[in-house]
Amino acid sequence: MNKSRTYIPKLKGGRVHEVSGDGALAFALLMAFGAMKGREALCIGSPDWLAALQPHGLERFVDPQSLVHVACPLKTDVLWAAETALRAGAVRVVLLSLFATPDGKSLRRLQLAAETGGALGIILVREVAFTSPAETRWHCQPCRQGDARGLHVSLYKNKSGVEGSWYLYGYGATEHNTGAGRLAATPAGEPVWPGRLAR
Amino acid sequence: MNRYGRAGWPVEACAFAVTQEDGNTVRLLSVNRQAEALGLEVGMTLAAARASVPDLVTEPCDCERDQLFLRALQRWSERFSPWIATDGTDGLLINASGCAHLFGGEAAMIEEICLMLGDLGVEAYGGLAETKGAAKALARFGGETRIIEPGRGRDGLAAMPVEALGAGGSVMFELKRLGLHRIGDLYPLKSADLAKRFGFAFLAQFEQLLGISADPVLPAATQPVFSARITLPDPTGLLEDVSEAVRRLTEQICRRLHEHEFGVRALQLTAERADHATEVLEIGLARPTREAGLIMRQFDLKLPKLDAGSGIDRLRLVATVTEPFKPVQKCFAEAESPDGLEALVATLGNQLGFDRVLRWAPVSSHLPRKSFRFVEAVQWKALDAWPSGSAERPLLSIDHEPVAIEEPGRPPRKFTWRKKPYETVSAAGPERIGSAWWQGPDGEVLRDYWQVETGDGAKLWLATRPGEKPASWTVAGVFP
Repeated sequence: MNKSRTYIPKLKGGRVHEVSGDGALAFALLMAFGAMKGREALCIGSPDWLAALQPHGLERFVDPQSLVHVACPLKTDVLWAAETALRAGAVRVVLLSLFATPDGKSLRRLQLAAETGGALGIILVREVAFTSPAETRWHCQPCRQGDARGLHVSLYKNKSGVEGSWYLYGYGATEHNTGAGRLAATPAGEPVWPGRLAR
Repeated sequence: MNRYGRAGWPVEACAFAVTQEDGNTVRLLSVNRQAEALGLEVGMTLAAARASVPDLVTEPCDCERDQLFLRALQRWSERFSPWIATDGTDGLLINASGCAHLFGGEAAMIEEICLMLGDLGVEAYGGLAETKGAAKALARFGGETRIIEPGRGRDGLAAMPVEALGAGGSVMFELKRLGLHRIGDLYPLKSADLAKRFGFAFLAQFEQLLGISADPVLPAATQPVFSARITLPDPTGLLEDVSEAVRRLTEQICRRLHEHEFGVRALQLTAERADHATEVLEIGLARPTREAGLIMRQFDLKLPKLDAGSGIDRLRLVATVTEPFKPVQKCFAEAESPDGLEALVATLGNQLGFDRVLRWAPVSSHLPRKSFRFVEAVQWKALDAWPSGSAERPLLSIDHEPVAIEEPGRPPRKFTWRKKPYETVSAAGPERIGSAWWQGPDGEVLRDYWQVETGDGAKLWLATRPGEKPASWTVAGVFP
């Protein structure tokens, strides 16, 4: 484990990643912006979740005009839409919001679709499963050190690369939003697991 | 009536009538010659007709197909004049000004039109006069007379029955009751009296008939029709065969779209099966297009759902929504990826419904919840830049969930939300966001908002009602 890394590794394109925690959306948008490169991203989720997203709060991460929303009341529709979009490769990033980690079979299907289309898939989940075939699994919680507010990002599973955790301060500011370069962060030691069992 | 004859029904072999439901009764809409000879007439109830002619053959009318047939005839008759309108459910109005000499004069033109319609299996009567009303009257009630010379309208129409005016039932009854049977009977009457007794609408009709007031032929715009059909030699249930047939139809339509500079937004495929059942498939597209490949990709997803049953033997493809095609250049200097996102939006929209594929559009409003709206991605237009507000806004809005106050304050120093304790470290506010009073009771409630940073790093948007005692607090949003 490389504890001295001062940047957060990028999410690998053509794969599907899983993000959980209270700061999951902010982190996912931050990573999505780096991968979008001025193109559109697809946001797939339940109609309620999409209605709660605020473009005026989101504009510090990505341009609200570059998001295309797909409102699906059913989980199967969310997965189908995500798979179609990942396979088509017409958008660089597909964000999908689910209540829990999808089962292994569905997620592997998404992985295959992402490999075909070369798009980046990010799954936002509230309940994490014990195991998941996602390329990387992240847990993000807001944190505070003195006056500075930030995000504690734990990478607790990585199929190809290091694991670790970082403090990310001043995220969403302009220097991070250039999309170029890596996301600078302070190393924070061992990753934190979201549940007692998740790994 | 003629439509059934064209469809190969032996309508001349027996007494035949087309019926239509009128309230609780079924009435005859049209009758053939044999039925007419047996004393049946249009407007009779079916029960009365059956009583006098027991072996009458009837068929309920299909108004939609009749209308389509008339529209087809309208397109067909464009060979006679460019100025053509349909009249009611069973008439065509041709403005023959400046066209008659091409067919050897007016009489010869009427003869030719009726002859050519006869070849098509349509029995038609023609009339030609100065005004629309007079020509209609001639065609329907003129008998042997076919033409009224210019300037002779009054004399020519005098002998016609008042039915030729085309007035409603109650007016007709009143005319008959007063002993006014011919149009000529109306000439000596003052127009003020006519208006008083029969209404202004009748007077306007009467004046239009005589050419006193204008009554132009208003042609319904004949838009190009984009449809194609194919008949298969044998009924088939194979997906490849149907797909190939649809591909040919699509290419045919796209060629026609190219010629007319049109793009298609929605298509309907009707498959007729060998057992005379029909299956209908509809697809939509994100953007007007005329590329066969793009259309086929959408059909390929849906064709497997077609129930072939005992085999499909006829396919018809119609472009139901078309628009003038405007090619748009989307990017500069780099190669365009022509249909990536549009094709994806079309695919998602066809499966989930186009109202589920959305994008944001800004709305000018000071209420954060109303400062944007969702627009169907299909109809969305990009702006130069998203108008950014001055105040910081939450990333996720929450529908005013109440918090449990542990230690009061303004905002509360300690509180619990979603079973999790929070401690206020710093707060910025209040920001008063008022109701839109000009919108009446629909406007939002007046609230004071605080941006509250908590001990564990979360930043919440807390709201309270001004002047409320004791103050209750709600969470209105979460900042990133």
